Amino acid sequence: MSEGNRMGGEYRYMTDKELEALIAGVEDHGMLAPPVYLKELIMKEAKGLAAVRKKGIDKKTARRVLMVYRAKVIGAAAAAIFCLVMVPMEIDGGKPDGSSQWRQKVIEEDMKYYQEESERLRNEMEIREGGFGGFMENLLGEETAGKAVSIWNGMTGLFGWEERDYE
Amino acid sequence: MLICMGTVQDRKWTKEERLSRMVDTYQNLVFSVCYKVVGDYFAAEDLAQETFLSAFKNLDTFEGANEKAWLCRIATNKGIDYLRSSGRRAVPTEDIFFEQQVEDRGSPEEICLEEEVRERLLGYCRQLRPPYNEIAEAVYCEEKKADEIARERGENIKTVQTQIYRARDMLRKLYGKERSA
Repeated sequence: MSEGNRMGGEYRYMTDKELEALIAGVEDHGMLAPPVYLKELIMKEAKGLAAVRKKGIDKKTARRVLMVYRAKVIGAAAAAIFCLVMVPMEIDGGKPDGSSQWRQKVIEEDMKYYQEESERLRNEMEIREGGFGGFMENLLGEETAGKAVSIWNGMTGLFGWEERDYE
Repeated sequence: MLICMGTVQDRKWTKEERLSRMVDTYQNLVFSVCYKVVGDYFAAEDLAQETFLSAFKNLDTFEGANEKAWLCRIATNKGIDYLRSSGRRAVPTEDIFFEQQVEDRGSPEEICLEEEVRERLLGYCRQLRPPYNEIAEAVYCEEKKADEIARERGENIKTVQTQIYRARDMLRKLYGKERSA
């Protein structure tokens, strides 16, 4: 029997006789020493296997873990059903004027806030667009600002400055 | 655990102790059998490891007296499974194998398998880049353990263990390349 005995291209397992011959052959012709770390590797793996088995054998622990898992799943399902069924009823029930009116009210308040904010932003934009004149007018009032602007224009004319639009 | 009244024979071995004893006694034989079957040093290493682990798993069910034959049976079966799964390795047929054995036995300068394999391994080790070449040579050819190497080189044992692990990977790749070529 060869080591990898082939039968029509297929490897087949050895018979007892063939195995004996192989062992005798190996023992007679000098054995090969495996790498020095082989035993260490085997023992390490074996310890890991033993630990896993030990865990697996403990049926009480396994049952307890299963019960906890079941409780968690049932709890989560119950909470989900509660949220689906009870919570919307609670919201509607909490408002005396019904859900649609309450929503309408919220929308109106939002719209009002939006309009106020838009107004404020528009004013700010106008002030900015007014440049230095607009800024001074806003700051000092119409009459004083007019004077300040004419002084400013005089100065820019004198020194050759221009009010540039950098946008 | 020792039984107080008993002798050494009465000692109840734990599974790990039985495995340790088996590895000490049969690791050379199992490794050599695996090597004979697959003809690949690193595959033989894996197969020997698998053989002992498989024996460890089935130690409770093993009732036979011939531990050696049992281990060799596992080793050869695993080797043949490996050959089947790889499905392309050229292994000598029965007749050729025994012809080779007879020739070897008859030759005056009987070639020792171990020497042959070691020489080949040494060649591979020297092809690695430093410091892995030195580490591999120390492990595979001088049969030094990690702590011994660490002491000699004045390095941390963890560093040496990592270097051994990497050297082994590099050797496997090199070996695989050469075989496929």
